[in-house]
Amino acid sequence: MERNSSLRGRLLRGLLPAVFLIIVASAVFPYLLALRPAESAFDRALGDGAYAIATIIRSLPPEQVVIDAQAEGAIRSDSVDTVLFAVLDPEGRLLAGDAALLLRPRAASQANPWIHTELVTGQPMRVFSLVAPCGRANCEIRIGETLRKRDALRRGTLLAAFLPEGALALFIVVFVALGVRRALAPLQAYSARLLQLGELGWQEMDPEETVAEVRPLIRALNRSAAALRSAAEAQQRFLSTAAHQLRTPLAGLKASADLAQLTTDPEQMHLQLAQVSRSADRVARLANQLLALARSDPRVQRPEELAPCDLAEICADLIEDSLRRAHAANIDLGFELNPAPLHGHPLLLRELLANLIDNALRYTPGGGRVTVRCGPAAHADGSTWLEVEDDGPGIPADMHESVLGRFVRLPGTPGEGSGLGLAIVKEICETHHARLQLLDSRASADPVRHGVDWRPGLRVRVEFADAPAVSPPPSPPLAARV
Amino acid sequence: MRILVVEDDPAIAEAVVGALRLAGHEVDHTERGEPVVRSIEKDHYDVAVLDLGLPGVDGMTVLRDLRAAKQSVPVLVLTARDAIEDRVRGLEEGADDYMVKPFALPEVIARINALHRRWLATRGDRLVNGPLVLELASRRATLSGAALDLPTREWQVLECLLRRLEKVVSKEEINAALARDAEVLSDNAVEVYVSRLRAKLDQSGIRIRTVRGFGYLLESAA
Repeated sequence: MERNSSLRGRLLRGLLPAVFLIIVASAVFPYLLALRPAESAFDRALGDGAYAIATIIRSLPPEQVVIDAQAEGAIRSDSVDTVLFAVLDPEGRLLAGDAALLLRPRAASQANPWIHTELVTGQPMRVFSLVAPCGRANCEIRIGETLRKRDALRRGTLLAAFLPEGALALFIVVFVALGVRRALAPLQAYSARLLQLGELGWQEMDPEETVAEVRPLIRALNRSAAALRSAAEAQQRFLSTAAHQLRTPLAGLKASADLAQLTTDPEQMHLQLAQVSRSADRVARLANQLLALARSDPRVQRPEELAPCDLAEICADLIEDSLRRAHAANIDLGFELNPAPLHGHPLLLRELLANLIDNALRYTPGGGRVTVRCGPAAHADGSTWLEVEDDGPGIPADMHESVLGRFVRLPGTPGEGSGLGLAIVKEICETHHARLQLLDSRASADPVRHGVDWRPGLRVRVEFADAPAVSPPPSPPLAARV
Repeated sequence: MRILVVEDDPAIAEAVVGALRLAGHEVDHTERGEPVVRSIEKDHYDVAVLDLGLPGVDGMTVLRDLRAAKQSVPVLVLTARDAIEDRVRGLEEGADDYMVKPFALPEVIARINALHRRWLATRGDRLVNGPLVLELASRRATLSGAALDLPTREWQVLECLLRRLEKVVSKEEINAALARDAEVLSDNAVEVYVSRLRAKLDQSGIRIRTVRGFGYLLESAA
């Protein structure tokens, strides 16, 4: 949730609570610090009244205590608050002053004058108590005043402390909000621009055009856009070549069919129909290969489709079909299969083998020899391998790289190959991280066989490096075992 | 023979049915799997040609129902190229052979004939291939009516090949068939028996082909 919220929200949420706390703290402390001394000054002034009364009664025994009108006037003189006072004898009886202050029993001792706030006749008053000698006895003096002065002080201090801080807070909030907005503005402008460009497809952007934080993102987008573009271009090239390749046999097919319709000679018609059938074979084969190519693209493979399989079993499964073709072409097709376990896509491996065998049978002349071999890794870090060897015309070494491309055929090659077989093999090898090698046949090293009709032959070898030679893979989910 | 063709594509169906009728067979055609499933019990065909990608009840279901009803009719499965998995499943469900579309018509006819021959050859208590007959119960072999002297090992190899007429049989499979008697066979024992069998079948036109490095294949008598 937090991860997906806006940058502005995150900045504001991070900054503003801190600002608020600092402002409150910087107002509360001065307020408390200013209030305390002013309040104690008021308390002392109140206490002074009590000490004045103590001076008056000091030499008078309790029964003679009298506060005359002049003194009382002085005690009660206060422009803001109402002042009450009381003098009590040692038994707590009122000797002079206001009975309203008698509600509470005697509490103060001589050593400890006592000041507190209490409710007197319904309103809160600050009351100061003092025990003072009166003649030989100890009388208690209480003096109290209402809180109007103190309330006014509190309000004044509060205002003085918080008003400037409040104003400061307002400024900070406004500036932070503006600052965040300004900082993010280039980002928003840039996104708006990208959005516009995005409708035309991603164009390469200069990372320096934007703020440092966004540059890595732009670089990454540039890279993935470039990869996408080259993939799209490759796809485009592939599609147009494929369409062209399909059109050629289709054109032949159409021509033969038209010719067959025109002719009335049954023999001629038969010949044209045979041509139709051959063209259809070519189209069908090409369609099959395009399908295989689409399926073997390493970019669309999912690792969960991998399953333990054995090249020997996959190969054995292909024997019957291959043998039928080899027999028809008078080619001696042989197999040297040893258990060759590996972790792979069974269907793709089948496709790979079928293509290699098909290639060998297609380009080896009658009377030739094709051998399919497979085997396990020879040692712990060896590779499960397979080989398809023929004694056909071979492929010149300088063409080994290029014949693996799509639609590439050797110049002057007879037959109706599409140039896709080895491309399919190459992609399936890439999917399996296997090493694909085009080698001369083993027989080519044998000088005895170098006769008139000697041909270099071709040996295609595939080594599966990550075959489970050492540790067997975990059992795959049931669905993967097709 | 009586052949059932279950195929929904009109062009393919027309071609297959036409070719089979030209070859002199009696052919029934249906585009859907349902009627086949319904009349499983009473219909008796020599061979069935079954497309896996049928609308409604699919070919795999038809195949399963056929086998569940103990119908042993040989089935040739037709499948599209992008469904090789189907092929494996089809064979597991009891198909006898498969062909990938598009296919050559002559090959379809050839495969159907081969299926029928194999079915005939292995029916009941005798294995037959042209002039060659192996009576399983009495262990008597005849070639063109004349008794054929086959020692146990050679009989076993020949039986193994005959049961898989026109199919590749690996040396390991033949060895496994021979090894019932807990006797250790030398590596080239099978080769020796096969070459003896070849000598005995020499004049009959029945050929045992070697699949170099892998095994053998008994060809059907023409």
